[in-house]
Amino acid sequence: MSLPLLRKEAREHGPVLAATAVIGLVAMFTILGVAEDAGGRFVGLARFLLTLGPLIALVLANRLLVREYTGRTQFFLETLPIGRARVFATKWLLGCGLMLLTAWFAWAVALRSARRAEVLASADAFGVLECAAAYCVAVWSFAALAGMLGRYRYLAWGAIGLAALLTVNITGVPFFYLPIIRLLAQDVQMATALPETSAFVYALAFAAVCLVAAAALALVGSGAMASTLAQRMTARERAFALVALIAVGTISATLQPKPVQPPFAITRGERFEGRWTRVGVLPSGTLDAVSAQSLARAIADDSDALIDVLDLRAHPPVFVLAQQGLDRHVMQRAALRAEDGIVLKVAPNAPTENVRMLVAHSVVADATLGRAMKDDRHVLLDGLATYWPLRDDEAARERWWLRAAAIAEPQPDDYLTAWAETSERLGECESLALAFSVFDTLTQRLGRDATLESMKKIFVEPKDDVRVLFERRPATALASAGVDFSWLASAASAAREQARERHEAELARRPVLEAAVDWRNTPGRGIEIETTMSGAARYAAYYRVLSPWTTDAGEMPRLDVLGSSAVLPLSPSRNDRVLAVIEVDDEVLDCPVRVLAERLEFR
Amino acid sequence: MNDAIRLTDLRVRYGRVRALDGLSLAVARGEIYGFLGRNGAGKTTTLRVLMGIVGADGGTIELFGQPMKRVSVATKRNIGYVSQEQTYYPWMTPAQLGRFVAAFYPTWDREEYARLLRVLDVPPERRSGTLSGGTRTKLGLALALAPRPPLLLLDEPTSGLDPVARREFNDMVVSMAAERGTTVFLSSHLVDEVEGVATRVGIVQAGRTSIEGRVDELRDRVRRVRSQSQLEPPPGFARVRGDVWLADGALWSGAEWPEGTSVEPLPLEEIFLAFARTDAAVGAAA
Repeated sequence: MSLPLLRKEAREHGPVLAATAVIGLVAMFTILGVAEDAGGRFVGLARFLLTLGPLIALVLANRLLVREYTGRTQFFLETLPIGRARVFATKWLLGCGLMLLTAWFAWAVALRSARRAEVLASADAFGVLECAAAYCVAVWSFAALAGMLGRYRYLAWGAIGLAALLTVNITGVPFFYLPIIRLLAQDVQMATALPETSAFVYALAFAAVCLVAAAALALVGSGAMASTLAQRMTARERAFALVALIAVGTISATLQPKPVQPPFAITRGERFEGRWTRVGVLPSGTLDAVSAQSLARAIADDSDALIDVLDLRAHPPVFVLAQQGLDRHVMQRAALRAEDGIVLKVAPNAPTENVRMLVAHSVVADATLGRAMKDDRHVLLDGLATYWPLRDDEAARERWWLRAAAIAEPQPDDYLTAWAETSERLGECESLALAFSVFDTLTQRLGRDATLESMKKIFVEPKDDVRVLFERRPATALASAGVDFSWLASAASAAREQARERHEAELARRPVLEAAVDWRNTPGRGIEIETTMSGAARYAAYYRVLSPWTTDAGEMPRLDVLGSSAVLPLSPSRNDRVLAVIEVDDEVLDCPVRVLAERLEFR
Repeated sequence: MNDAIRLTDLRVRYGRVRALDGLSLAVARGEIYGFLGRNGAGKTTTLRVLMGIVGADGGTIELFGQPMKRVSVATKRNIGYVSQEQTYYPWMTPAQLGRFVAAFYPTWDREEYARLLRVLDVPPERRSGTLSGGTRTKLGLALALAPRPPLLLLDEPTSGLDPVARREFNDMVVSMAAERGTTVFLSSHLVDEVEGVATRVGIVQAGRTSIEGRVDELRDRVRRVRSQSQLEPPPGFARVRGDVWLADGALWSGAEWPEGTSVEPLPLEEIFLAFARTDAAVGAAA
């Protein structure tokens, strides 16, 4: 390394690198923010490194290496008493250091964000950092080599991108299993496992080869090759590059479509292989190996049976990660592609039937490419998913009828088809209970087989094109079975009334809860939102500022309150909209019930 | 041992092209050596070998009595270099360039650099990218001289300058060389420039030195022989090209020529033209 040269690089490229850093920061926080909602942990880090990482490496290589040759200032450096190798080493190490700094910073931000939501072991987090560092070294090494290729550098980038695309298309190797990219695969994103040692070996070997090649271009033949390559492309070369690009593109378009990608491999935890479904459950804390094995078997049975009765083509693997520190009723699904399977993060003491419900929900939602969650059928999906693990367990079903009986009546006329509103108003526990009551009422009217036959017509894999507009409406499918939503709404309401009579004694034990949300705008302190609660010693307040186009608030920050009131840690501005929710753990129902959900507008 | 530069049988190839093909020369300490040659004769390659930018494929390099295979970074600290094109960082001012370059030379004289900028009329706070060609060349000279190197290599530094600027530049080089005892190796294809500056001259052709010596010595050895009859060079004489012959000075004075033959001394330009247009082996053999 040469200190004067480092100072020169800082002066020369400082403003551009600072601008790149600012853009990178904005992109990083945006990606991390989106990923926090979508997948959590290090999903955002991986997305950031995969998208912005190569761009940053490209900018660094252009500034540190290419510019020196195209500006012919490399020759000026060579007239000074500093070796060519030292110049190259300084620039390469500087670029590498900046890439590693980027990786470290993104990792630190992602870690801080992840640790706000869950407990994350340092060893797992550092494993992710190792992966990110190895990935960045490999990307930088390639960028440096491409930079030394001067006018052909963009061709080199294009070639490696095309090679990756062709490899995925021809061999069917999943994108995240490509060498180097493997370092940012799903298991790393979720910090559940480090990739195999060979992944590091491939990445570092690739980096070494690129480094040697770049150094050879810089040093061999007194650096004449790099100087020559830095000249502009001739018209003939440009024409050749264009023709080559078109030719490769045409050839690749004629190649066979890629085979179905294999699902991700489950290598850890208690595993159970059903007829269609492979399940892994990672024990932790109170979820011991025996319980994990039992849960894995139950999930596989549920999923296999559901796949059979609905005739689903997708057979996703399922992995349940028990993680200490999570709330008992909080369950999160990793934001992976549907074909990669269903990966859930749950508390070790989470109710197993809830885990099974979420798996059933995910199986159907994925098989229908998410269309099962449209408002005109979402209640049926939630009902089916809730009903399914309880289908042969009368006692458990009655427990859910107790929850359904606790729902305040009357419900609005369209409470089944305006499901997003219903869910927001009732909260997860009661909305699932409501959906269960609807589905169980349906099975009592039609019988289980006929009901499932109707569900088979509703939850079909949709056409992935314009023909989706002509799909059969859920109401039509129900009508063919002789029922409609209006009847279903009133029949379910009547059934809940009967359940209230059956469970009158238990319901009487429930405390009377009253909650309110008020806001005030005071000079100097701005808008403050205060929640108040009576009838419970503690409660949880959830809140989120809604963007203008938000309908579903998604996951919300939570404030645990001991006492009767609290001001939300939120400083909304005028014209903002805020969703405020108050929930209380209901000992009788054994789940958190939503006492209040209110959308506030500050005008 | 008194030579600042001694190159023996130096060979450099660029692929199939022989840029230097057995070049030999010697430059004594403190002298100004003019290195003449046509474009592509090997001048710049020779200088790049001396700067360690290009490695030699064969032959020996001796600088200040130290034999070496390739000029090292340590040796480069004793060499000032002004190239034919000044490729400085365009965003740097001469003052910033001075600070940057100073870090590589332990002998850098900050005050001397400031003085040189003043004397050479180089504005210290203007970006080098906005300087004229002549000013950039002067800046190159200031950068080369500020470390007070014992050896100064000039690679056609005045090729882009007008006659006035060229004269000023050369006067500056001569006076500073005289003042400090600096050895100057001046490569050029401008004969009049070299003739006015150099104490000794070497002519390079096709990668070899055709002839070298003091300017008056060359004039003494190379002459034009005009005759009405067809004359062949007698023993000790060699035909360089056409009617230009080469011989030891003493032979010229003792020679007897047929009637109608005239022997004329030649200006350096004519000598250069004769050697530059012929096979280098003639001069080397002579």
